[in-house]
Formats: sequence, structure tokens, C-alpha cells
Amino acid sequence: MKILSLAIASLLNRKFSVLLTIIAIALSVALLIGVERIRNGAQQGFNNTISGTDLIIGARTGQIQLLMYSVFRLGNATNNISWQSYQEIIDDPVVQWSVPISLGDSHRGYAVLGTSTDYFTYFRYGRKQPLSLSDGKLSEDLFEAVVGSEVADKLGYSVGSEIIIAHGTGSTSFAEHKDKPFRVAGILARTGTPVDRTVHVSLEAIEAIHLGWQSGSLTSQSAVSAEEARKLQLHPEKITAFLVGVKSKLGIFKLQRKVNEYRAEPLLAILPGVALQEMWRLLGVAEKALFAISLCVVVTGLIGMLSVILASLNERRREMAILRSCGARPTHVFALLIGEAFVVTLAGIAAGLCVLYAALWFVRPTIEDRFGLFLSMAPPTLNELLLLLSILVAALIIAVLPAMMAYRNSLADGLTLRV
Amino acid sequence: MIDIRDVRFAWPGSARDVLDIDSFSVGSGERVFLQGPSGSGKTTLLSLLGAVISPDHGTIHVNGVDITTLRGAVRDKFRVDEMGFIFQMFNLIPYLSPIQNVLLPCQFSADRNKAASSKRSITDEAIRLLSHLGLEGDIVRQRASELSVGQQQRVAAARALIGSPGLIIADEPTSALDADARVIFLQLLFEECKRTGASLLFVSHDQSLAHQFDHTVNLSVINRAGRAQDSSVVQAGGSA
Repeated sequence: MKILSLAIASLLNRKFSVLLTIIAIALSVALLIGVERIRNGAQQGFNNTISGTDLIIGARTGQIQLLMYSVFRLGNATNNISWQSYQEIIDDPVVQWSVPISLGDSHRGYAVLGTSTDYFTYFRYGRKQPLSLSDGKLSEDLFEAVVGSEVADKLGYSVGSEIIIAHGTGSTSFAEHKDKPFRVAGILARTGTPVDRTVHVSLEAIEAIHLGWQSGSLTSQSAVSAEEARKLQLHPEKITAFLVGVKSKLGIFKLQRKVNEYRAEPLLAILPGVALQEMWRLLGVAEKALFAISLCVVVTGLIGMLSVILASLNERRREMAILRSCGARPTHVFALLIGEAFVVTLAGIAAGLCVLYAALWFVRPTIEDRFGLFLSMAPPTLNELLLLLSILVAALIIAVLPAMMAYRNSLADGLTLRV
Repeated sequence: MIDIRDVRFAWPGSARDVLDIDSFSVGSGERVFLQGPSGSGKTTLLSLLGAVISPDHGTIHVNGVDITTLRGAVRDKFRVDEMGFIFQMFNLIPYLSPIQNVLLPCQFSADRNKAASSKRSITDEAIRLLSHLGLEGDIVRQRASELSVGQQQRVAAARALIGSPGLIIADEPTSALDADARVIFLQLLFEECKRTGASLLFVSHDQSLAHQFDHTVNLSVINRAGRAQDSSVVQAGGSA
């Protein structure tokens, strides 16, 4: 029986307090790695919102602001781009494809995006995955919409459902385009991106519902009925932003410079990857705070272990003296206590991983569904293993304190402990 | 086996010696009864023999080695290689089985492990020793804390004897036992010491056991420091 099995036997003798310590460490480990998984999932999801787009171009504003409204449907554009400027820019020979987007209206809190059918051809998310329909087909009629999966799920829509678009954003808009109801033509498959929370219509439809609208309200004398609108030749005059794909990557910066120096109106072209990174750095503060808190919980767990070991020291002086009379050196006594900390922490980490995977298995579908956050069930990553290893090392360092005390006691007590 | 010459010891911070022994020896295979009332320096002498403390003066040879010259890890190794200890009570690790308790010295001493495993596995050797000392069956695998005091002392004896150390030091091992158990325990201990050829230093204040030993030594006689102490007590009593 080596020192480690002696340590295990001794721990088994104190099952209850040791078990509580292991539970405390297990929960803290589960929390730490869980937070790590959420962080990674959030960042991954964040970075996956758009891919394959080389430039996002909008009216001049901050790069994060442009990213926020064009990709995340958050906030409002300060200005629009004229259709003419749009046409001029995409005439550049480096442009391979472009997708115009027009924002500003909403449907029960979900953003309404006016775009062309190219959106469904060129837009990519995640690992350059294209959008696909889970039901129905793309809009054919002017007043047809394609809705994201979350919109369909939460509002209970299926192909053929009728929806009314509200003027402006926000879920409690009073000005609605009631005169021109839309029909759901298709439902997109889940992407885990803001696309799921978007109602897609054509640019022409956006023009159509605003016919006769002036400064945010419908003036009755100029109203145009849905049937009349269908017969009109509608041309968008303004769009909010557009996505561009270039023929060769070398063209990106040339085009970006051209846009940023565009004379006719102030425009901004951003690289989505760079803007996403900058935005993540902003969000990173919260993420780091979360990580720091979970680290503190781990430290609390380890201190709990320290106090359990320290509390046992006095009542175990006799045990140590017996071991000494059987040939154990003070260094063995030292190793015994370090060994106990090792076993407890290792058990805590193992139990923590079990708790984590069990919890992930339970909550993953809900989290994915509710927050679009994909949590990995994969075995611990190298990074996570390093975290766990540092917990173990920290535990061993902490255990030096009681081990030193036991070492000194056993030197002072010798072979017998007088009662 | 033991040879003490001109040993003096005072506890740190104390001006007076607690131990001052001109000479004391235990021969190989000898059974010596060391008698001494409490306060005669028994504990100090055993600590010196166990090399837990070092004398201020003199030499202590155990099996030909002057243990006063040993330091640190060498001392610890020498102690477990050459000596087996039995104490008055609380000898066992309560959460280990008797077998595991008996095997402890073999974990820490390669020599004793080797000696114990010369004929059979060390576990079998532990079981053999325990059965010689009257412990058989399931009891040797239960937790030691479930044993009676008499049984615990026999486990302690088996542990002192395993791997045949040259010297067994027993410190009041029978004082917690009733008369019958005391007789049985002594008999078994003698038999086993004889079998392994170990010397036995048996410390007790119980004079009635003395006749069973080869020699009896009264510590308060050989300890000059103790005598001085006694006489001072007598003087103090006389003047009162």
C-alpha cells in the first residue's frame, strides 16, 4: 500500500466531509468549464453570423454600428444609400455579387428585411453555409414573405399565414401597413443567426407598403391599394446597406478605399471579420467578468478543501505518530496530505466533468432553441484540460500549508502522542 | 543488541538532566524487563532508543550502529529496519484492517519487506503472524477500530514482529489488558520473539511480570539523574 492508497483509505474514513468537499469542487469545475463552453459557443455563434461576404457597405457611421444594424438587426441606420450610388459601386469590375438590404420596418418585434432574391443565393453564414428553405418556396408575388425559423416557431406561422408589417421597429408599433398584408411563402431552415429572427420581403414590397406614406404616417388621399401597387413599376430609391462579394481577395481593399472616398455621398465599407472582432472585444468585458467569477468559485471550492484538511489535522496527530513508528518519515506524512488533496481534487474534477456533461445534455436543446447558442458536447479541449490541470496544481500548492503543519507536528510528536 | 554508554539528556530549556545512565545493555535475543515508575525517564529513554531525540552526551549502539550519529532520513530508515514498537494503546490506524496495519512497516522498509516475503507473500506472512497471535478469520480484514483492546495489542505485536527486526521495544503494552489477556499476550510475544531471534525490551511498572524475563533492570537505579531527583523529593519531604 503506497502513500496514495493510504491517503484514499484515510479519506474514505472521513467520507462525509470529504464527499461534501468533492461536491463543492465538482460544482465549481462544472461551472468553470460550463462558462468556458458558453463563451466559446457565444463567440462561435457570433463569428458565424456572417461569412463569405467581403464587404458590408452603408451610409457613413461607425464600423460597429453598421455591423449592428446590417447583420444583427440591432439599432437603426442613421442614413440610407441612394439606389444610384449603389448601382455605381457595384458596377466596379471587382464586384462579383451584391445583395441590397433595406431595413426599418418590423413584424411583432422581428426585423423586416427588404432584399433581392440574390440574398438567398449569396448570403452565407457559419462555415460558408447557404440559406435553405425548410418549407414552402421563395416569394413570387409582391406581397409574399420568407420568414426565419424563429419567427415561424414563436409566432406559429406556416406557409400561407398572413402577416401585417408594422412601420418602424419595436414590438409595439401602432402604425401598421394593414392595407397590404403579406402571405408567408417560405420558412427558412434554422441557422442560429439573426436570419432566424428576420422576415424577408422584396425591395419592391418595401416600396409598395410605403406608397403614400409621408413622414411616418399614411395620408389617406394618397393611399394606393395593394392591387394598384401590384400593377405599378416599383423602383427602390434608397437602400440601407448592401453586402458585396469580390472576384479576387485583392480587390477588397481597393473597393473599400473607393467606397470610403466616394464623392456623391458619405459611405462606409467594412470588412465583416474585422468588425466582428472589434465588437467581440467590446462584449469581451462581460465575458471576462463571467470567467473571473467562475474562477473565484473554484478558489472557494479549494479553500473549502483546505479547511476540511486543516480541521482534520489535530485529530490525526495520533495517526501520524503511528505511521512514524512504522517507519514513515516526516516527508511521508507531508506526501500523505498532498496526496489527499490530489485525490480529492482529482475526484472533484472528474465528478465536475460528469455534472457538466449531464447538464449540457439536458439543457443544450433548450439553450440552442431559446438563445441560438450552440454548446459543444465535445471532450475537453486542450485549453480546458490546461484549466483543469491548473486547478489541480493550485490544489497541491494550497495543500502545502496543512502538509507543512503535519510535517512539523510529526517531527515534534515523535513516535508516541501522550494523551 | 542495545549498548548505552554514559548517556546524558536534558530537555531543551531545562537545566537538569532527566536521564544520566552510565551503562545499560540488552544482549542479542535477550528479554529484558525495564521497570520504572512514572517520572523515572522511561519515555525519554525510549525516545533516545528510537532515535527520535539525540543525547547531549554519550553513545547509544543498536545492533552495532551508534544511532546518535544518524541524521534525518537515515535515522528513520534505521528505526524501521531494526526495531518494532508496541505502545500502551492506540497502536493501530483505525480505518485500516489488521492485515493492512501489520503490513505498514513493510511499506516503509525495504529490508523488512524482503525479510517478510522470503518464504511467502507478505500478506500471507501477516496472516500467519496474526494467526500465531490468535487472530484468525474475518476479523483480520475488518476495520481495526472494531477490535477489542486485547486484539488490538496483538495486532500491534504482529506489526512489530513482521520482517523480523532485531529489536522489539514494548512500552507498557499490557497495562490496558486484564489479567488473563496479559498472560496470553506475553506468552505469544515471547514465542514470536524466540522464533525470530529478536531481543525484547519490555517497559512496565508492573513488577509481577518481571520474573518471566531474562533480566530485570530498574530504571530509577541506573538513572543517576532520577536518583538525584528522588533524593531531592525526599529532602523536600523531610524538611516539611
